[in-house]
Amino acid sequence: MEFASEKISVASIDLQDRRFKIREDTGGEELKESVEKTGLINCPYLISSEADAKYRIVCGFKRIKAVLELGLKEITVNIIDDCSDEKELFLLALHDNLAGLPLNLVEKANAVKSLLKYFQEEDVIKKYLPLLGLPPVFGCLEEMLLIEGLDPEIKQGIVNGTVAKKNGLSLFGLGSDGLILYRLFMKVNLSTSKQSEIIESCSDISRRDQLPISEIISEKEITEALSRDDLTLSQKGDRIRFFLRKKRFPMLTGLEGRFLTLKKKLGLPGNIRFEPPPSFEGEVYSLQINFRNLEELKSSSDRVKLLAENPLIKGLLEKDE
Amino acid sequence: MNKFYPEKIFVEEDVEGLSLTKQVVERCKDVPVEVVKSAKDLIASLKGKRFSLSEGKKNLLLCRNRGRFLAPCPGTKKDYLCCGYVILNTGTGCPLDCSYCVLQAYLNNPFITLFVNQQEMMDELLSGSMLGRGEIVRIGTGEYMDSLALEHLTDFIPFILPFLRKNPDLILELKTKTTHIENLIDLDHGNSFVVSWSLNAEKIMKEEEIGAATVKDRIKAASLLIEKGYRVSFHFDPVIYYPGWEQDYQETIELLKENIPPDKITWISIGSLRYMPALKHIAQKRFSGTAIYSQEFISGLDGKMRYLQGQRTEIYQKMCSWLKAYSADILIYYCMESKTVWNSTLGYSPASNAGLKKLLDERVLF
Repeated sequence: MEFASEKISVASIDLQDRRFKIREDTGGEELKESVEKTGLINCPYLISSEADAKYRIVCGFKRIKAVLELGLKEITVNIIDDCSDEKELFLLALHDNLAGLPLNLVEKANAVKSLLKYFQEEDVIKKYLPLLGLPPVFGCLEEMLLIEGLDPEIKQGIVNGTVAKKNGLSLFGLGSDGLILYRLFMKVNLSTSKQSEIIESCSDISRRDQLPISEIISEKEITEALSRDDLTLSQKGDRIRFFLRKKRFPMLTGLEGRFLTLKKKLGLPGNIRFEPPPSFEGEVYSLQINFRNLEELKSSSDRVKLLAENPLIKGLLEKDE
Repeated sequence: MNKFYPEKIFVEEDVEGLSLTKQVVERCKDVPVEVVKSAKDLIASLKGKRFSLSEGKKNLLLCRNRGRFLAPCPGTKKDYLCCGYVILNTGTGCPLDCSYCVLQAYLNNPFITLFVNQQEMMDELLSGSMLGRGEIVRIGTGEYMDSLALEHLTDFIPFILPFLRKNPDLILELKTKTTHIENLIDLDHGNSFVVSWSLNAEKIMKEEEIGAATVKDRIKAASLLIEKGYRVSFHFDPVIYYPGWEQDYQETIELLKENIPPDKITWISIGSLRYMPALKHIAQKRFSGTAIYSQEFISGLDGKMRYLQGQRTEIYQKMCSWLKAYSADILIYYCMESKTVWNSTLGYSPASNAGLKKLLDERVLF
């Protein structure tokens, strides 16, 4: 590919044409500082357009942005002679980007989407996914396309780590409700697994009750939790999660609540742990005694003997028989 | 209902000359055939391609079974009773497309696959340790595919019949949601088969059992086979909970009552929807409208997702009362249920898997 170095006016560059753009518009402060101190070390690559006499950017979007923000009027660039093969130009942009800082997930997704304009799907999977550090399987291509199609707000969340890739993909599956949930996540503090639980709860309640997610998260318990100034972001998140769990699993949470009430009535000391069968499946209850000495063991055993005579326990176990 | 013909047939090169391969290819006139080196490589090559399970269901793969043809039904682990059914693995995958089908998550091969090395299957059957033990062995082909969905291509039933007639201890249970009974109708079957239909509420049939025969047609097919002296049975499995399920399942039982004399039913099994956790995501992606996975499930003692024990008990109590009203003599059993649930709904429980097996074996000893 032939090119010639030229000094051109920054105003003659078409900043709207983003067909070769791969990287997101984030960051760039360090680059700006570097350009200010030392000038451009690597010149951007541009093509000229006969249509409007403007130059289009092939690679160097961030460098040109830095020059613009520094208020410079002229810039030295490489003008590519033959600009007829857009596929070749995109590959130049791709390799230029790959030579720089690692691409983030959203940038890789952008690249995959663009590659599909120029190459067959199978070629993208076999040849270009590995180039981007991704496994050459269709599932990965599918994921990249989903990420590329996400709302920009959620994409930003994936890049800055406020939402994990897995959850971002789940949000995509919820359509416009995905963004509503994402915005809810931004108002509270939830780990990836807790976010995941909320997405699944909302999605299941929505399917089961045929309600839009927007309606589910507008329920009083959620709006109240969000408006409470005395709660930390984590506490708000947990309140919302517990509310949704109760709504999603009314029978199970009902059984848990009744068992908890029974335990309270039994008034067991802290070192005796009494648990129901996991998820109330089967009939095996468990009792655990923690003790430090013979005296504690003896008093706990006496307590357990009394427990066996307690009508509440009898009622519980006989009901199951 | 329409019979399945693939859009394309893949043939593993070392089974190209086998008679079943030739027969299937012959019966699928005008269907393009591609010979591939190995099924394993073909399946591995899909990783780098857009190729879904739905796509796979349009294709037929004819290959060699390199593993065992006979295996005990994997059933489930721990605390749930299983019936001691033995799987005869004639192939995998199914042209029907049920949103609850476990195969969506269980198999890594999207193709409808037929194992065409039938001679090796016969060798294994003949040398099998299950013969001549003096006890009934219930074998079945309906675990990894519908037993009758490909019968028009394979003629498996007339093929296996002479062997079954020589070994009366073996009973082959054919499980289906189709009406493809042509090969059974005029057969001198010698009571070698139990033909079973999976039944469900009409709403579930319409919304979740894509490509299957209507419930009415399944019952009609069963009725035709009863006239021909066959043993028939029914599986209400999976029973799926949704608001209003009672009315719909009662209607199906009513249909049964109108068409099938209860004394002609060998057994009826009931099982509520249960699934391995990975299935939910896969099925919801394939069937975006399904809400069956959004009811209340817990992780059972075997790691499968199940309705809460209390809810299952309620479902079974109701199903049993409707079936017992139809006839008190029908043998009802549960697939993968706990003794607790058996006791609280049927008033008794087999002591073990062997006990349940015996219960079913005795039903075919007449």
